[in-house]
Amino acid sequence: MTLLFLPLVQEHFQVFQFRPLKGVFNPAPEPEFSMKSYAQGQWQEQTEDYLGEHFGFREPVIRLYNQYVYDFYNKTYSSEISVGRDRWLYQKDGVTQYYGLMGQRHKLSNEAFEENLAIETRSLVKIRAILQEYGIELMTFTLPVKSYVYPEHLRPQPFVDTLFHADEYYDRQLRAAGFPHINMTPWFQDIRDDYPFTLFYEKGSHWASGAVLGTDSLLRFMETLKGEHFARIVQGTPYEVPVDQMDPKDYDLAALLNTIRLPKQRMPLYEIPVTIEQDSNTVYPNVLFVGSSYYWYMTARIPFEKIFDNRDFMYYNYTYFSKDEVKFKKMENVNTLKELLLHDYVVYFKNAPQLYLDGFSFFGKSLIALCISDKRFSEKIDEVADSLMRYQPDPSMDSSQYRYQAQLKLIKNPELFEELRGDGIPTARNPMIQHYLMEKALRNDRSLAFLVTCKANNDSIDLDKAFALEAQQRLMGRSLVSKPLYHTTYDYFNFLTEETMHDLHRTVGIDADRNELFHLAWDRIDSLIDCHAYDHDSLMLAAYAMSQIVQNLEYPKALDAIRGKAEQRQISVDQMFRNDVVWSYNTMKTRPAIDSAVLKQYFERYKTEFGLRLSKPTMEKVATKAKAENNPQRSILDREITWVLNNKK
Amino acid sequence: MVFSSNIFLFFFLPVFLAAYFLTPAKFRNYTLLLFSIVFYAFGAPDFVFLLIGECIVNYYLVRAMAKARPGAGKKALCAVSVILSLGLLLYFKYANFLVQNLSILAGWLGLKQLSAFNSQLSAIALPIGISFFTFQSLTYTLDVYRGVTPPSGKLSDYVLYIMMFPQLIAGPIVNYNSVAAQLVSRQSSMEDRVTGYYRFVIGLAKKVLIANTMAVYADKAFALGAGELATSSAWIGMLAYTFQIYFDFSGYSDMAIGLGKMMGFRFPENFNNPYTSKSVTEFWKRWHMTLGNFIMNYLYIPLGGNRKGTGRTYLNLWLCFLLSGLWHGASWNFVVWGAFHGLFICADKLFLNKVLKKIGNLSSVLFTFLVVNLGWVLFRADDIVSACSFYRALFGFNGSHVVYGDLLFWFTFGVAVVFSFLTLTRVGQRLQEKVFADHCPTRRSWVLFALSLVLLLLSAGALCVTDFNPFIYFRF
Repeated sequence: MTLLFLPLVQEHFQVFQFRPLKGVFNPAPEPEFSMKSYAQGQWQEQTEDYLGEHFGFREPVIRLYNQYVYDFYNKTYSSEISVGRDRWLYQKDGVTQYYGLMGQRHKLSNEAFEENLAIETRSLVKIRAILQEYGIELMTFTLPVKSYVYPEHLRPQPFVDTLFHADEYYDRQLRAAGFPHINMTPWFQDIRDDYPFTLFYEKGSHWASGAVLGTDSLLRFMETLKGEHFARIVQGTPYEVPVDQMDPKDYDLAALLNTIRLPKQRMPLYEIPVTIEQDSNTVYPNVLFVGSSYYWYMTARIPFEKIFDNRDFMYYNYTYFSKDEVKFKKMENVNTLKELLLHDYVVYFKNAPQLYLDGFSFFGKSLIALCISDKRFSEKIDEVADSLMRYQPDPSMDSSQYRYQAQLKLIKNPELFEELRGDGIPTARNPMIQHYLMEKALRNDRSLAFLVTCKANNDSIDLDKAFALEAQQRLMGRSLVSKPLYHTTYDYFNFLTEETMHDLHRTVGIDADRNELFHLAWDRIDSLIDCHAYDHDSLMLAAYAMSQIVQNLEYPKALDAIRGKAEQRQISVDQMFRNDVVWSYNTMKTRPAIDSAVLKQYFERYKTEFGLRLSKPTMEKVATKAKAENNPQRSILDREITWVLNNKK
Repeated sequence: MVFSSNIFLFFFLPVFLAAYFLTPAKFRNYTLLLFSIVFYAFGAPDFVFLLIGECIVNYYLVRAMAKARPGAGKKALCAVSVILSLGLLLYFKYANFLVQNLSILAGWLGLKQLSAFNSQLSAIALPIGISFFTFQSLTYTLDVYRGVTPPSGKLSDYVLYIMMFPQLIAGPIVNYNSVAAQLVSRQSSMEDRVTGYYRFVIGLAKKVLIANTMAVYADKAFALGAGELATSSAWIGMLAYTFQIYFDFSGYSDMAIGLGKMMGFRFPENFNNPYTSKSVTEFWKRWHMTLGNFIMNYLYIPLGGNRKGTGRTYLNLWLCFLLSGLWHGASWNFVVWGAFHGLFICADKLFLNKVLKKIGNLSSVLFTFLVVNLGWVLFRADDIVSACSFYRALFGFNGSHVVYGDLLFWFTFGVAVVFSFLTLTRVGQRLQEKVFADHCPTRRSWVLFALSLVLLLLSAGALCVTDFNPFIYFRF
């Protein structure tokens, strides 16, 4: 009986530490007692759920039982995994779709499933046609599925006479519409035996070395869309990977079994090493990827930064990544229209087992964003919500929930908008399109983009907001950054460094990491200064002039005047300082002439400032000092730079 | 809160056992009563006061009845007590059924207003365990009335008898006179606690490892519509349910008996290898024995038993099984299930027993097993129509939908078969005697301890994995 007490003791004192269980699940919320929730039985349910997840030895007990059923019965209780023959693991959705049972599993009739896919293909054709008007290409890329490529390890499934192979239907629809589309599955089925190793790991859900082959095919196909020439993926000789050096992502299904010991991969593991080849004609596209986590398996094997100028990834309808960093945690915050228009290519990943997911809202949101104004969308939501309230009343829902449901319905089926129905390309356009195209033009022009970046830094505003403001001004025939007024030599050299790095990497073709490129760029700038390459650079002259003014304004008297003016106008000293710099620059009658020696001296100051800015404590010290002395931060930072340079000497 | 849940196993039970054994012996009943009330209040907050109220009223009614002189007054008090207990059962369990059927009848007779009455009534919720505590309450009233036992001297002891959590929800149905003395004073030796714990774990394993595994297949088979299910799957589905219901119910009884034993109570056995029965009559002596005893003592004998001629005997038997069916659930398929068994009980008496004796033990066991299996279809199906379509699948040979069982199912199926029929062999009988013996020699105790540990871990694991079902990545 003592045994029964041990879990309580462990839970309370945490005597042993156990490996946490793998997988994603929603933890049961802590129960909140109220007489109402108790009387309705909710508190009891919550308590059972909560305590069921919080008792000592839960982790080892689950692992033990999972090990038992896996070892003795080739079974798992995970609803995501199917244990195949020879202990191959498959994602259950893949198996279900392979046997044509996906509709049945998700309680979707064949007719309804077909209709959903038909809406999706019609929408994709429309989206592509509209995007092409703005020079953007949309394509679908159907990912290979393990259960289709290696079906010999699957266990038999019940025969049903209502099978629906949604993937084949979808493929046919896209081909019939002439939509640019490649399907990796049949190709992988053809080539799998050409390799002495498997393209999927037996204990993983995604492609392994197959990712290299898939990415190469994707790039070659993308090249044909606009006739551009991208960087080449050169495959090396495949090498065996020791099991202990495997990336945990590659055996995600084995980990999800949550057994005591990780089931071993029986087949040898291979990876294909890659190098990237580029030349002076290479184009580095700006691509938006949409969809599946197969993407991570591509980026883990192929250096995407050497192939794409910019790459963003809409992870389903869930998270938005920019260059592998989370940009928007929730998709609600993503402006679909803007993201579509800011790229040159949109690659829509499709995966046979996920065809029932209504394109994870991508096609619905995109078509609506391209053709429907915010006002019209809002009106339509009201209309659909009204109809839901009238014909499908639910007393537990309030008006905001009806609106939310209406929005979901419209995204699922954009053809609920009269103007988006039929096979023709809609003529309606979202009025914001021009704005985002202007923004794209700004971002693509490196000099303009740099000026906007400087403005954002100087005004302490978000870079995206700065681009949006500038685009807005330009559409009205004005500009906030037409003159390089905010340049100092620091900004100038920063820009110059980035440009030189870009040039070295893309044009000269130097294959190095960012840090190495940085130092190479500085060496190059140094030698170009010696060669007087920048003597007549007007941007340089402007930057030098601005730096001179900055230094002149640091005299005590000038600083006093600035403090006084700031107080009078009730703005910060920093702001007043910036205003004075701009004013002084604008009223300069003659620009100073500089020689290489002075330029070199300013380049040294830039390098020092760059180093100082990398140090968070130093910058905090500068800010504190500026506040204490009631001086502009720029002034304190310049003093620090001078001090560092003097001490160096 | 059911016994086979994490909250019971890892929170309620250890806390209860600690509190119970730390309480001085003379106050232990209060601890047990308090935890029983908490146990019931957790699952049925709406009815806990109703149950306590009924206990209090009944306690004083029976006391008054016991004090009353034999005659009309005593009879009246007895009747009031019986009506109170049965009235609650009839109202909560059968009112919906009654109104539904009256409404259908009114519809047939063209009485539209009456027919619409059903839809205006809201469904009446069923207090958990009402079928069991009503019967316990009846045995108390009737035993005191008959003078079999004196009334309880303490209200708290009587409430404890009705509400004791180990047998409150699903039996066994304990006669008051069989536990009256234990309620007042009982001993629990270390051996009792240990063997009680073993019994509890065996019951838990029967429920979680066997019954729940069988249920997965049975649920799939019974969920398929008419004409879809392949004959082979229908037969396996029926067998799976046969084992599910046995290991589920007997497992629950084992847990109740084991828990009681840990505290020094001796609850009556409820199952005795029912699937080894050689006739349906014998089956009912081995299946849910405490219900069989109740029906025999409190229904069949008062109806006249076999003392009023052959015809009346058959009618009494028939009625008993009809009512037994209805007791299991307020639905026509339960009534038909009761009638089905009643039919075979009568046939046994008429001629079947002689035939079964002639065909030999094994054949009669198989025949009885088949009859019981076919009866379970009525019990498991949602309604009569579904049951009929299932019978069509069993004998129609035209369905195409095969339900696949995995290796765990087949292994468990094999285990269920072995343990259901094990006592047909002498080895099996000896094994059962040793496992369920009251006395446990040290060497055997170590074996049982190891076995119980394995079973406990596997059962806890099985309970957890069904609740723990994570995804690789977020679902969209």
